[in-house]
Amino acid sequence: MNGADSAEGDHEDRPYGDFAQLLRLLCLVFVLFCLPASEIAAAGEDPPRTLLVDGRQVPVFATAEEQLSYARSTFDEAEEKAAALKALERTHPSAREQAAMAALELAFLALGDDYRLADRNQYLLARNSYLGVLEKYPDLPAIAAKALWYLGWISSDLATDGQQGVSWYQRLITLYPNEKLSIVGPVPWLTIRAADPDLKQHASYPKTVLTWADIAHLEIIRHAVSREQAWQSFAAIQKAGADEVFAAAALKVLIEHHGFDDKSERLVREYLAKPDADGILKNDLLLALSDYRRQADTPGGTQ
Amino acid sequence: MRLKHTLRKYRQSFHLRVFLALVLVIVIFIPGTGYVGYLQALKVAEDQMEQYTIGTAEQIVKRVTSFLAQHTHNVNLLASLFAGGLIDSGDDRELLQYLHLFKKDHPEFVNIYFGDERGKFLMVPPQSPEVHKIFDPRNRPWYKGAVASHGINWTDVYLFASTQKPGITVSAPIFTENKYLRGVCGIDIDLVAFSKFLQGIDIGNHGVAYIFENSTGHIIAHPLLAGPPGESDRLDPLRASLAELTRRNVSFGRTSFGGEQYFTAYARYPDKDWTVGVTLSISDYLKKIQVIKKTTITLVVIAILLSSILSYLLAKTIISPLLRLQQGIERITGGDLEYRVAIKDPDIARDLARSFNRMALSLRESLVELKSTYAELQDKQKLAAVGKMTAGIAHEIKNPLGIILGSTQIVLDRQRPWEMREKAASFIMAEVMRLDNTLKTFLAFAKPATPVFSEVDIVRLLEETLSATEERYREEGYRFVRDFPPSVPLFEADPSQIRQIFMNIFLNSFKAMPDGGTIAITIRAEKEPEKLKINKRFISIRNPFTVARDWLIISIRDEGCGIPEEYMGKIMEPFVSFRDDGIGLGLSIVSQLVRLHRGHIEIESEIESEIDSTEGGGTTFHLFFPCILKKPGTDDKFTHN
Repeated sequence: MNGADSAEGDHEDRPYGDFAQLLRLLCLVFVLFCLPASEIAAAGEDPPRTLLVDGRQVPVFATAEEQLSYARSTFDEAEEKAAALKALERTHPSAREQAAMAALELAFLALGDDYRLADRNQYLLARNSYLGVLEKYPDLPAIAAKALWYLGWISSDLATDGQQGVSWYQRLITLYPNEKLSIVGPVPWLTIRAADPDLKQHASYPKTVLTWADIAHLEIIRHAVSREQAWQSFAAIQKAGADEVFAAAALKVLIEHHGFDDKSERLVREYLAKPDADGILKNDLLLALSDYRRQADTPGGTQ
Repeated sequence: MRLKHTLRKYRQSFHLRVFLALVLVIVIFIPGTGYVGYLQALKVAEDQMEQYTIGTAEQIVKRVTSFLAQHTHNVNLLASLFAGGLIDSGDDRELLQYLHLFKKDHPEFVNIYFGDERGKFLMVPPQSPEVHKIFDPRNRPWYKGAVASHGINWTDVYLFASTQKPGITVSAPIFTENKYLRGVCGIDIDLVAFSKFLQGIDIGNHGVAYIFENSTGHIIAHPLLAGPPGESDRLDPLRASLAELTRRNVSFGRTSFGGEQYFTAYARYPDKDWTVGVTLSISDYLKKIQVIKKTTITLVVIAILLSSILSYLLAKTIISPLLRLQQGIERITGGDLEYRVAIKDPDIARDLARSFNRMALSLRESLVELKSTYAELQDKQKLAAVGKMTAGIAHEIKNPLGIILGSTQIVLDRQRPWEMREKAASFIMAEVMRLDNTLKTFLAFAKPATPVFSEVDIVRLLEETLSATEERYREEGYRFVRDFPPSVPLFEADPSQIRQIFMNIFLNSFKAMPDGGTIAITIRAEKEPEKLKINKRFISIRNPFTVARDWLIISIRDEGCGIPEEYMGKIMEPFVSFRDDGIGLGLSIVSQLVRLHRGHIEIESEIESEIDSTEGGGTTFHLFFPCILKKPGTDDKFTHN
């Protein structure tokens, strides 16, 4: 071996066999770093629990109130709403009050999309449903009073049986004279006001001062055959004194259905003299009074 | 010490320096580039997110306008049908059927209705009967608004009497030909419908669009309103975003709530006192950014590792030819002039290797020539030395031989008196002895004995030397003054030869002071003595990493006449004497022996003033000998190469 050969031998290239192993290790580190991304992508949420009612999937909520609110919310199809209402008894069997409210809604659904266009079968079906509610929940005044009013309304307005209607209204007045008219609670009105801690998170809505008995009296005035019966109901409204505007509206109905007389004219004039009288009612009563006076002043006009 | 040595070795490694320089560049450049790129990407992403959010809010404003425009158009159409007499408002059943048809064609309308100036009200779908019984349309905001504006009217959010749900209504008045008000028709949009509309706008899985009324702060449209109840807590981030952005008085910003990050943008709805908000949760986005960040860091680390490996290989490639050259230099320095560097590298390295090989070849040729010249020179020097020595010997022998010859003639002449012949014989004897001494001295110079080294205490050796001579020379007026330290380091020497050095210097001093005088002897040990500084570089080059050694310095000063300056350069040469009684080998032998002991000699001399003989002249011989380097507590001896 000469000098040059020995020089080559001294600096011979070393094998880099450990390179592959190093690269493998780096790849492993890279994969470990990237792993969380795939885990994040794979993360998901559990689907909500549902219940099959009348062939429709109804979501199950934790409380009966939530279940009822869901059933009362807007649906595209009446069948879907009916399924949601029926589900309540199964999802929350011990929630009797909510079940009774659902039963009332179901009874109303029997009238179809528009009760003004309901046929005889529909309102008979609805009447039977309300009778069932009345029978099942006589101990719940809010439910029973509403069921009685609806029975009266179906009889008088849909079946055009005023007498039958009045009898249902009379029964309501007798059994539940002070039960407040229930109005469906609104969907929570959201607010994003955070600065003012005293601000209510839900919109306040006017609570009615009327009772089911008040509007039953109003319907009796409308459907009473005799003027006396109508005047009795009007007197009951006046006596309750819940709302002057309502009383004026009842007076207007009384005049419309049973005509003017001295007593009603005096009442109209008293109302028109009130400075805080409702403008629209005041105008209606004034027009009615003017017509009455014109006809009365006309020779041969009716009293 | 070993570690320090190793570190120094690595620090001086050219290979390592090239490698570190490349790695340093990589370590600064790659992470720097990666980090700048990451920041740029983050800024671009945030800018895009801002544009997306603001753009989405503005798009929603446009779509809300478009959504409401349908209602405006249809209520206008409905009013024109009434006004044109195409719908008979006096026939309830016909009116009802027509409204049902209208609703069927427009399922997106929540309620469609008509109310007349006498309080009649018809709505599709119908109100609940108990509400209908006490309902007067003329008291409702939509009716009043349409009458007051005499045209299309949008209400603020209010509660619908039929459902007690909040919503808005668009209404239009219907007039007779005589411009009397006949009634008002309207279309309701409850907030659920509004929210469903917003729900249908795709703004990503983690985004929410909503509309709130500025005057009340109520959200009038939000996907939650269209969904199941019980999730109002999800509005908290919106509240926090509103509060934060209101405080900062900006319409876009990044806010945080409950550990989550949000982007929120607000856009004013021009026709009403509404604001459209778009809030995006960016936690997922930030998680993705974090993943990108991790990936970038990983890639940077991998790039650094790979680049470091490549740098190592590159450095090795650069250094490899230099190492081969270095090895070649070492081999050639070691005398292997046949060595050649392998030529396999490209470009400069190959040229360098070729130049090196040419240099080695040239060096070899020069060496051959030099050897030849040196051999010739040696022969000539030998001849010159022999001639000079022969002349010296001849000179030294010639005179005694002349005396011996004359004396022998006298001894052989029987006619001479006995006393004279006896005296001549004594002359012969003296000259023969002189010749004997001369020859011994010559032999000592010509072939000095190989020194036998041993550890020598210089003080002790000097005292022994002086004890043999001091007494004798004191009678002749010579005195020795000692300046010895209490302890001096040992040095390796042949005692007899050191003794010979001292004796020759003493004899030189005696001859310089024929009338007697003082010889001062000083001994000291110094580290890198001043007088040897001139040789320091030589020392450093020989042994760069050792500490400076101790030197033993013996100074012998006489008070003689001194040595003239012109003789100073020659006094160590053999057969050079400036006195009649010398053969000129004494100091040559001293110089020779000092060199044998790896020592050094320096001479200082001052010429005695001729005017004032009291003004001191004299000569000082400084002898430098290396001390033995001993580690504390060991008996290791200094070893010669």
